[in-house]
Amino acid sequence: MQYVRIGYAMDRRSRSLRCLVVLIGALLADSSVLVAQAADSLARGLDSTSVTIRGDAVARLSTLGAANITRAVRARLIALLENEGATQFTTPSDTADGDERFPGYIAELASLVVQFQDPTSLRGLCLAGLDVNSSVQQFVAANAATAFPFLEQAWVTPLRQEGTLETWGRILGMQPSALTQAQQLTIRQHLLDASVTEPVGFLWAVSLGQLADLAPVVQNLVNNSTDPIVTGEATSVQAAIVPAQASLSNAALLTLSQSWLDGSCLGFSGLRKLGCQVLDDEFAVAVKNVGANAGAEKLILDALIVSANIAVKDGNITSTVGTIIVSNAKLVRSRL
Amino acid sequence: MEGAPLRISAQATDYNGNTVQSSDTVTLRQDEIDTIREEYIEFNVAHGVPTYDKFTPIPRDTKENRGDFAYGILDPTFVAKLAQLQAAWLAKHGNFPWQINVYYRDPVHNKYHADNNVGGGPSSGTDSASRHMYGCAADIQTFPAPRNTAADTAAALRFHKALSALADSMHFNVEPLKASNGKLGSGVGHVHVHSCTP
Repeated sequence: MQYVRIGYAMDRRSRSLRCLVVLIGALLADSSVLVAQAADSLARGLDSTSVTIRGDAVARLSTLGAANITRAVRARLIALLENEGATQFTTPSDTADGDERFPGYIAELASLVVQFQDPTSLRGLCLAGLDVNSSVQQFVAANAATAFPFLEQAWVTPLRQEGTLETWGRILGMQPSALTQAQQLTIRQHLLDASVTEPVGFLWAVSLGQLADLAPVVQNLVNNSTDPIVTGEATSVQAAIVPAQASLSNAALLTLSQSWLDGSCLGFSGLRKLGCQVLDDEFAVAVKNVGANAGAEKLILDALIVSANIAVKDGNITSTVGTIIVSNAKLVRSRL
Repeated sequence: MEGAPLRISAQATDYNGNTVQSSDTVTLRQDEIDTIREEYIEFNVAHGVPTYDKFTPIPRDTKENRGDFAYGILDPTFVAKLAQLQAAWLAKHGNFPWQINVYYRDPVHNKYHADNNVGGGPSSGTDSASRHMYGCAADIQTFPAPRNTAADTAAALRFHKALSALADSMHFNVEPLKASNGKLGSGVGHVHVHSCTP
């Protein structure tokens, strides 16, 4: 009897151990499920009308790690970011220096959403995340074709020009760009405008995209800006793009300069359009001759320089574009 | 600040409720670091309770410690990275001062005293999950300061944009500028950056 009892006890013990092992195994195997359930639970706060509760939910979700957030919760985070981006400027924000509630929460949200690498998040990232960190800009730039209309929207959103310009710089610096020629020209037009209205963002775009063909505009800012921040930025960028400028071939420098002309002429009509067309044709001849080493390159470049100066004087092109054409043509001429 | 005292004694009783043995009462007192750590629990701060060893003595009412205690957290990785940002900034803009307004805030200070509403109840807007509570965030003053004219604000805005872009490029997370009804709001006075290890 005693043996039987002992055997029974051992059976029970081994069965208990087996159950324990199975239970631990199940728990380990399902830990990702538990984490996902936690994410689903935390996500309830995302719907709150309170910024504090939404912010708290986002912070807690970020501690779980992007990999542990389910597709459904990701979609809600993406929708939240897009909504915040679209409405942030209609929401009263009269708090004092030193507070960080609303933007602090957006920074956390954008930093989390960009980790999903989900193209459906592009609109929200463009409207609210471009200033948050460089990984947002890199992701948007890598998806430039899809993001193009959202960047246009961000460009006309108050206080979002800086990040938009930096992202455009990154896009133009990518070779080859995923954008159409017309889209690239639109970006160039915005950058040229920004050299006057948003010089800091313009300079960062030049730096991030290594747009050495814009060195003449940067030099202009070094020489003529009265703002010490702009001067400091321009001086730094000028030094940083020297190697890129030296590595640009003559034909490439002229072709890129022509692109700035074409960008600046977008939307022109009548005589201004005609003036642009004439210059554009001269560029085509210059590129062809410089590339072919036909012997008349210097004369053709001289003619281009004269034409550009006249176009500026007549108001057919801006002084910014004139500076790009004239300075780069002179640089190419000096290399011949 | 004194830690909250905790008085404790042990008593053994039999099934009839008669005291069998009773110990002396011992008064325990939380040390300052655990008092701070308790704030994280009581406020249920989203990023959790920092471990004891993260806290170091930091004099109060300094830029490093805007909290309520003589201890705080300064994440050494963040501090080193911020020094790199400072060097990069001054290489470009050495004619401007470099001024950190705050690194660390404890949770109570973060919730109640971190804006101009000092002593007047809950602050109007600090982030309840602010990275300042983990010593891996800083607010960097923009200049000119104070801003008395529209031109001053425009200049401070350029400062903000330039410093934000530099911080972005060095892989900090940067607080975006805020606005109210399409106009520049209050964020231009400082650049908030953070970079925290998980």
